[in-house]
Amino acid sequence: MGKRILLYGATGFSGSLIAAEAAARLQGEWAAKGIEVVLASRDARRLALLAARVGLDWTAFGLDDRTQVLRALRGFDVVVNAAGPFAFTGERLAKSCIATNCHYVDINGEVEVYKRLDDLERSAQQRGVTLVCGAGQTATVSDMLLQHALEHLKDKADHCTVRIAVARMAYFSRGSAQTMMRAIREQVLVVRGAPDSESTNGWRHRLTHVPVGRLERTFDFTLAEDAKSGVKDPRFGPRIAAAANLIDTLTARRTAEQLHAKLDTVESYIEMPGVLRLGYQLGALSSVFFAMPWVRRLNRLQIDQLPEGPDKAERATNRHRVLLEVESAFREILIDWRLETPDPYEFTARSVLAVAGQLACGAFTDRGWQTPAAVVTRLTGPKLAKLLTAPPIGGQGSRRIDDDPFRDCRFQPVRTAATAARTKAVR
Amino acid sequence: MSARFPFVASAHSPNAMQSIAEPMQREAPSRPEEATSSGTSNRAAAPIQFCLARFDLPHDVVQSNSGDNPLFRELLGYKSPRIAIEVIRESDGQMAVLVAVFNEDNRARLRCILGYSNSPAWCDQARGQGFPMSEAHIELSTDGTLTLQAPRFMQVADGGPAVLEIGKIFSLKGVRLDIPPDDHPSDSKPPQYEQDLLAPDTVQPASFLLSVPRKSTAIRRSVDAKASVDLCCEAARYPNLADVLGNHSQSHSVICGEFVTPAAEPSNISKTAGATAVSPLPRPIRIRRSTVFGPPAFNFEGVEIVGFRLDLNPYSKASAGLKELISPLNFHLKKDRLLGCADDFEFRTASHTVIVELLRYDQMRSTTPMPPLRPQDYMSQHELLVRVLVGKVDDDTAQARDAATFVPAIFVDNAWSKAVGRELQGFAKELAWFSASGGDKPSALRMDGRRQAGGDRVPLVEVNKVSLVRTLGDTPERAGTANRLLTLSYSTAGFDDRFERIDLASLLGTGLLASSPWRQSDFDAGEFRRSFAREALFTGFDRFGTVQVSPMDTEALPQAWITGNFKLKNFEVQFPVGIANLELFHESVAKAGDNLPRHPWSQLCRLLGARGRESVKIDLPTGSWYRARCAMDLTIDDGLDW
Repeated sequence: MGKRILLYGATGFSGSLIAAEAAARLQGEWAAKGIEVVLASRDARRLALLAARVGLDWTAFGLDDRTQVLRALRGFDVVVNAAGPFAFTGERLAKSCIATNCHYVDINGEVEVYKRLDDLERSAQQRGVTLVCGAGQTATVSDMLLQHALEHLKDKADHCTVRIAVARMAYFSRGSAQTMMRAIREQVLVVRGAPDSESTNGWRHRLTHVPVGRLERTFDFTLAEDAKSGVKDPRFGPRIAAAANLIDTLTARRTAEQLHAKLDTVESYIEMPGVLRLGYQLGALSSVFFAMPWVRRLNRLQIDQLPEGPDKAERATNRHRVLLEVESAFREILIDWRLETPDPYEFTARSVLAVAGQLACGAFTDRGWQTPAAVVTRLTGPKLAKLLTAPPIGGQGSRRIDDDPFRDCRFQPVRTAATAARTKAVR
Repeated sequence: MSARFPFVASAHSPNAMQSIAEPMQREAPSRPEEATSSGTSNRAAAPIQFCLARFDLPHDVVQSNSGDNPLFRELLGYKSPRIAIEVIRESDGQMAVLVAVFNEDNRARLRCILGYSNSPAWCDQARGQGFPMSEAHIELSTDGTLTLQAPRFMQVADGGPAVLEIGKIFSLKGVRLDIPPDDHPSDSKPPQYEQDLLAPDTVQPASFLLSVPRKSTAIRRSVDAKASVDLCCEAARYPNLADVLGNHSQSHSVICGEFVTPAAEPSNISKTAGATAVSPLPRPIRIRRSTVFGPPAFNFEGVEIVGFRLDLNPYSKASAGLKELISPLNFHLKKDRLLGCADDFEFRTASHTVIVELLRYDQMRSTTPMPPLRPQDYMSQHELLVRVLVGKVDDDTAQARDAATFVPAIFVDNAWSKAVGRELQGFAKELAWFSASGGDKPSALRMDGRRQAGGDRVPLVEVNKVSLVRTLGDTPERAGTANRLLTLSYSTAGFDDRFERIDLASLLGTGLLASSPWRQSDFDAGEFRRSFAREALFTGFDRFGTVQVSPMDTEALPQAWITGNFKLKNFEVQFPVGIANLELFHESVAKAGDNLPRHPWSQLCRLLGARGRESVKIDLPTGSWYRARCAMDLTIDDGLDW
């Protein structure tokens, strides 16, 4: 019997892209591995249409009845959850996966959901199940970069500050917009390291909060090729970014602990122009108001008027950048890496299926709570590590990556000299 | 010093989390006693005598093994089952009676199916070894007649509810504990108990139990008593031993003797070439809870509450003291934990206001009880508890979640409730007397609040003393003042029955937060104020979460959080005008030795300013104490349920 993957939330925007990517993989590398993918969603009509289009089997079920969900999951090796908002689906599916002994992977980006799901680690470990939360674009990329950076720096990473910065999204799907509305809080999650005699390596990365708007910095999102290619994307260049509630902070913390690094700080930022930053701070002030059920319903009605997500042409031309900065205790920039990916939704489909494929094939056997990078780097192997940590040739050039799921990505190990001088903190 | 329960377990894991995961290395314990189970040290104990009588089962009982008596289920798997009843007595007066089943062709292998002791301490120790033991009055007269009285559900006319009351379970005539044992054992294979230790599953505590085998290794010196013991059983709905053994039965053999100092437990830890190695340990088996107990859902009718709000803010070290009080919840953060996970959150107290409550449950029921009990059968109970509001906090974040009440100390007068509460719900229940003054009438109230059967129920506000039970059969008066836990008096013009009904479903009604003994102003930490409000807005005020830790009587099985929900109905509250005078005593629960953890009640007394073993007096003005009436439903979460 083949390895069976269930894709839940297949009829959503991200879900349908994942379904298409899965169908493509089944024609290629997955065919030999005996992997089988079944689409699932609560909407049988839309699911049938999608399944017919991509040529996959389907099963329709909602997440209201636990018995029905457990019955539906039986026989699957991996469940991929693409059904947002994950506050409604993540915990239910993850718990059902533990109960039916199948691995769970999602593309969640909600911090609250992540914190709730990682409480299931103990249960997952005891039942021999792997949980991978946040296998979407930014967390996978930033965590992969951080993992390689920490392995490269080794002891030099101690007492360093890690900053992850992501360019803002050029296009939003409805699901992403809903996630953003739900994620509005008056404070931002950051990690602060401190000595702790109770911890195994004498260090503990504590989660703490700072008010929205307190942390703003300039990051340089420029790639060396930008000037040559004449790219004029307003998101790419030295830009101000504000600290935000991204699960990247949580995955980075987990990765640091797994690698026994003693980091001083981990912060995640999103690049924002002035108007957006103002809206962000006003939104934070009204976060309790936005949490009220009827306000949420009103917001949802508004969001439902938006297009489902970027179309094929938009996705084909869209690029996205994630930046990792590691600064020593002496304010020396040790790592200044940026990675450009294709459209985030397209990349999410690749990354989540790369993780799911590894788990389904049994190539990744660690159980309990795992970061997407832990699974993905097992797939990419030392080749990618070598590419990332090789000294820059000629100083500034970017490198193309061809490994799954990072194919068609570009990596640049240092900032450009022209913009380095302009980059400064704007606290 | 009183001796411990004589049956000491053999090979087991010091921490079963290890055996659930793969076998791994573990450092040797720093103190010798840590290598033994459940803190059962092997110090010299007072001689403990025993008398073990073996009985045949009536022939027709074995044939008609189809009733709904759970004792029959225990006989399944035995080719030719027999029953043994063992009486154990320690010189200080602690006694236990064990009813066990064995196969005729292996008389040395006993399995206790029902156990009683007059010592709550022995009960806890025995349950930690897998013995299904609960408290009972045990009287042994000089002529060798033993009478055992314990809570049981009586047979009632069809349709009527059976009520849990204390009554005679059985009597034994001819019990001989004074025969000096022979130096040469009468049995080549002395009888030993093989029990299954049960605890809620760490992942799905409401659906599964973890079970590990426990084998006693107590050494006996015995002699054939060459006498017989007569058993006289009383019929009851449950437990019904008469169903199994008949109303009258005579033993076919009796052995008497005493326990030699229990043998040292074989250690599974060995040192090899500088490394400490652990041999593979028995892996706990996961069994469906429904095969042993009914679903963990309970219904409480006629609940009366007198509550006292103790604001700890004026006391120094309140934060540190409260952290210590809820430390059992943070077992996962202990340094010697063997699975380094789930450590990114901790439980913290949400408020410096601690609630001490006196409760009476008129009717407590299991919503779907195991036969022979029926949904209408019920029991009553008094309770004294300490309630702390806690929340999960991810490290130092400013967003607490999963607000729930934790009960670090709880005293009850219902032995059944104590056993079930400790084992399955994680409530560290201890047995106590609840007394009311009343001239020459008995001061300790029955479980239903009456002084004697058929009498009037004493109002809960007339309960003026709560005392710890050390030995059943004693009375609060005979036990003396050293057993006191709490004395109560009220400086008020009187109590009336004018309660205000609170509409808990209405968010904007006057009852905002009234269902909870806490006020919004109690939440001094901003993160709790916000998160409590956020959670309450979504879940409503008619329910509150609860979180406890189980098991507590053994370290052989891993600990788990037992979370549940109380749903309130028909809630009425009253804030009486007057002063409530409380005096809290902790001499009875204070432990000697600096290394031993303090009893939570003792911790509370010290937080309130008690020095040494002194008591502490508190006067609470109007508004700081309340009366309430309600009905409640309690459900235990499955862990993987939503």
